[in-house]
Amino acid sequence: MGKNLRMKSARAMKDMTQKDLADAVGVTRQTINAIEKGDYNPTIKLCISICKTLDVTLNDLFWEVDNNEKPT
Amino acid sequence: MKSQHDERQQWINYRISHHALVLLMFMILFNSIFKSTGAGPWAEPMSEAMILIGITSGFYVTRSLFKDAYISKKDSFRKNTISFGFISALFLGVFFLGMIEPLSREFITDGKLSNDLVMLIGGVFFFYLFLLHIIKRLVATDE
Repeated sequence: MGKNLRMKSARAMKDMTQKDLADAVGVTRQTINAIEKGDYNPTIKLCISICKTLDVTLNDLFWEVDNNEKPT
Repeated sequence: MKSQHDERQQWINYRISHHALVLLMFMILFNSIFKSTGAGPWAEPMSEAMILIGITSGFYVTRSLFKDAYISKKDSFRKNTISFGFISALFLGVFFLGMIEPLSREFITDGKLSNDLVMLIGGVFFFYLFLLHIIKRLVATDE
């Protein structure tokens, strides 16, 4: 699992620190850091919570686009 | 009671506690083998239990702490460190006060670690946790 740079960038766009986002979704800062570094695969519940806080969709942050996949 | 740890911490703690349980089972097994091979008991029951539990707990806390899963979002790192330091000082204080009593204390009786060492074992264990917290604070490198 690679780094989640889209989440990092969405967080930066909202001008939030890892601690701000962690407090908003009810986890520790280290958990946000682990998700961004690709060290932890969050549950769908946490993904939704992060997306709602950052005003983005699940696809925007967590859908990994396969190069062979054709867009619908 | 609802856990104060988040989902990543719960998952990591679950895995580490499983490893700690396996470690404890092996230690109890090897301890029993050691005692039954003729070497006999190496410590009185209380000291023996404290050492086995101390090693397992130390393993659990060390791994959990260094994976950022030990301190929940409601806990304070500083408060934990101070608590462990205080408990350690209490245990070691009681142990060393006991040493200056006129009553003689024997730490090894009949070739076994005696129960008089329980306070020292507890003190060393909590001092280890105290040091661990300080080391963790010093080596914390994540952004």
